[in-house]
Amino acid sequence: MHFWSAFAATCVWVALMSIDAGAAVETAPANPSLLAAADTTRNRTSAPATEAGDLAVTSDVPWNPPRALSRRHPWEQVLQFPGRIVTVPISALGYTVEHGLFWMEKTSFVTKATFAARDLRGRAGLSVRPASLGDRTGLGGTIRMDTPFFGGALKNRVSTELSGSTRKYSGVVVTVKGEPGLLEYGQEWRPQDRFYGLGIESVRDSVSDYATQSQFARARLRWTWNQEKREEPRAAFAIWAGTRNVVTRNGRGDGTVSYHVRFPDLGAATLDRHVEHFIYGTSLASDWRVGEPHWSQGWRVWLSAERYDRPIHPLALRVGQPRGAQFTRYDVEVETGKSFLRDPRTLRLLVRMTNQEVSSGGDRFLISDLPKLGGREGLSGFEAGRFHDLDLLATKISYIFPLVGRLELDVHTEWGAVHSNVWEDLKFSTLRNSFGVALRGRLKHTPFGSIGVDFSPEKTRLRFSVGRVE
Amino acid sequence: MKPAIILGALLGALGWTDTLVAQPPSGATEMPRERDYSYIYDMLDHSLVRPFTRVFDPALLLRKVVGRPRQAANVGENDQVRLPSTWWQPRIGFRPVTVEQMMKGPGSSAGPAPGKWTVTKAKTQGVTPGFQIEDSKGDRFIIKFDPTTFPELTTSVDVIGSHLFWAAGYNVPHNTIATFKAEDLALDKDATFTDALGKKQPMTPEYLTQLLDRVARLRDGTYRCLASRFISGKPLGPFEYYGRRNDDPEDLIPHELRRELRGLWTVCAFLNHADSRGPNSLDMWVTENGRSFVRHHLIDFGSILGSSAIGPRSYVTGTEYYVDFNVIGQQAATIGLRPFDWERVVDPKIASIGFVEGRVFDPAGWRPDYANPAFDERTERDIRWGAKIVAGFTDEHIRAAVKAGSYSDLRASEYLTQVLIQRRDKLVRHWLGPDYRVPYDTR
Repeated sequence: MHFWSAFAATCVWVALMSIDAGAAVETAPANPSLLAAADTTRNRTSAPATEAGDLAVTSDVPWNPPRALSRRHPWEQVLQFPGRIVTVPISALGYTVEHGLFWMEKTSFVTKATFAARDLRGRAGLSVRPASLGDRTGLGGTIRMDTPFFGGALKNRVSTELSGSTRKYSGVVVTVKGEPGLLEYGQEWRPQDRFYGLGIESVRDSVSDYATQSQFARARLRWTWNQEKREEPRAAFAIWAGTRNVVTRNGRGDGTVSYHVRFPDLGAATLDRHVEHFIYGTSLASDWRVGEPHWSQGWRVWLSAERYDRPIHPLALRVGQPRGAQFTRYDVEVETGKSFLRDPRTLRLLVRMTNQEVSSGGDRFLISDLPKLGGREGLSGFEAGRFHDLDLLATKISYIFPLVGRLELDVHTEWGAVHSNVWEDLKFSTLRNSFGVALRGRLKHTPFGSIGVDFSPEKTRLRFSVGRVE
Repeated sequence: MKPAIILGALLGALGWTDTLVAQPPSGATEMPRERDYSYIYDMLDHSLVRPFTRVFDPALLLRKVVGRPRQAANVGENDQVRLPSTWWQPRIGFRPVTVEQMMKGPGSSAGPAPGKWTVTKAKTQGVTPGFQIEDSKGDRFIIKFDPTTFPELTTSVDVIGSHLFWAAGYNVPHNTIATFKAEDLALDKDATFTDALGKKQPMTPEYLTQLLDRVARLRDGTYRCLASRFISGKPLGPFEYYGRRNDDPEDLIPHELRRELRGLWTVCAFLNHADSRGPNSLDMWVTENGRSFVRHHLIDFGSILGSSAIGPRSYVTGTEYYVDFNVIGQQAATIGLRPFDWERVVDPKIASIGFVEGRVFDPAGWRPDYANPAFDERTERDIRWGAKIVAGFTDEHIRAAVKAGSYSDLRASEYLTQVLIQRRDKLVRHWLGPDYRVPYDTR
């Protein structure tokens, strides 16, 4: 302790005594008349003067001090010494990054990789991107195969996507695209989704997990207006119909109790039972949002109604017997925003509501068909899938403001609840709350990525995204 | 032996070798190695890493507390750059420079000579297409073009910049506006271009046609371009705004301690040269008057004034770094309610100008796109030194330089002239006072 105190005191003393000691010029007054001396050649000490008025570059030996100057005075280096020792690992990392980046630039690695990826997609129809398997699925990727090698009407009309993740989630979707039609067939395996029980009062300690194995086939017709235009109102209308088979299995997560153990009644009604539905529905979306670099004015609305009905025997994927609940799901999502100042500071309000009307078999309702909150679904500060029930209400208020030209901050709070009947049970006191901040990188027209933290009384979650921020 | 190596490595890592190893200031005899560095790392280092190291630098903190910043190391008793210098030559602001001298300054001849231009290589670096040519006299030029949606934007400022930076005393390439027809071009038999996979390919007439298809054509069928004359000597790569080139025995002063580089801030603020970073510089190994040495150049002025090389400058340019912790802190503390100064700017909406203005321009707070180590070390004396250079530009100098940009829209040249006058006046008034006069007769 005494040593360090003495060391610091000595350093300060040496520093104060020697800050640019001897540099007489430092104390020279910044007097315009003195500084106005036109003949700067006066200072030459080691080379012959060039002719007065000679404006051309010189090839004379340049003035230099008698020896190389250090970037720092000795006393400065002494003061910096502890910091330099502490940051040696960071310097080593910097050295590695510098040489790695230099290699990438000199070899045009990114250009080559982009070109190769584009070439692979163009010739073989192969592309790779991050998977969209949802929260808590681990690191994942999707390989997409298009059909550029098909001729005629089928050229690039058929695509296959294979997804997988480190938590062993996987899926495959085959799509045949038309305009406005689309045919899809897909399978998915989700081994360890979380379930904490029904309702907003479910406790964190009742955590369990479940697995679902599903397959579906459906046809969809979709019409859109102005989808590529940023400054005009956009709209989309869709109708679809198809069949789906789901079986709920015991959860495969390490150290987590399976749902059928934690909730035996629910397990008895649903575990290992294939449930077939004939699903049909319609949706309408209208989007009047405008603005850049993030949307800052206007509103959007999305309405959807989807019926999960008895299976139609000839279409059924596995069994023609209904073993699940029949129900209709209604979704409404409304979002609006208002901004002020030139670089928009934007206030946004999002309200999302799901209402499900169960017509039969309510006791056999699948967990995977329940609306949920937590993670990306809403109430981001809670664990993904933290709250499940038949109905849902979620709201989000955001304030987005610029930090610098390329960065903006999104400060938001979310309030939401799940209930068996949102119309009857919803009270302000039942709403759960989380809040968060996200730092967003932005280009001229759009944000390109974000990283943020969301907080709830139960958890703090880190979130990030690249590409689709809004 | 081993302890010596370890000690040497440790001292090197700690940056102490400069102190212990003296180098004689003799003339260079061997050509220094050509060098290059990562441009992305340069940006990341100066944007993210160095700001933190400066905040936690106890020596810097102590200097701030006692108000004794480290002054430039190559100035004499009258606070002027010690000469001769391979970086800078006293010109405007310190000596009379006529408009004619300024216009002839960077190079005595005009652009490429009329006749066939032989294309030798396609330009692969940079964001706009270009190629290298040899004119009918055998002189070599780099040919660059404007973005198709912003005609005249980058070629104009590149020429304006070369005249004004030359007049300011810096070594620059000689840039001119030129026009040519497709049939004026001939392909050298060894002409090459580098493809997307980094492989050199022979240049074909088809490739040249494709390249020209990406370039705007004038109404009379000609192409407008920037012709940048090759700088004489052998290129050694860019210099850095800090440290020294250790293999150049004439480079004994850390660059961040050089007055010419610290004071360059004021000239860059005047010309909105927000792209003033190491990669836009070039060291050349030249042999003149029986002496071989390194000469230091500023190059590539396509991103000054209202141009960002691919389009107009953002309104934000010059008011903050890409990542500016000061501004971020202020914005976070006021939850964004404090308006930015740039939110008051008026965009002239002139495509060939892009965006640059003088009304809201802050002569004390101008910043490049990301921090420049020499600018960070600047003191008031360095800035005032640069302000004297800026003060040397008369309205006539400015008009002549802008005229060299060959704007087809009179509105553009008039607007740019007024903006430059406004920026000059603000800088001079702020740093030298309203009564400052250049120390020579300007008539």
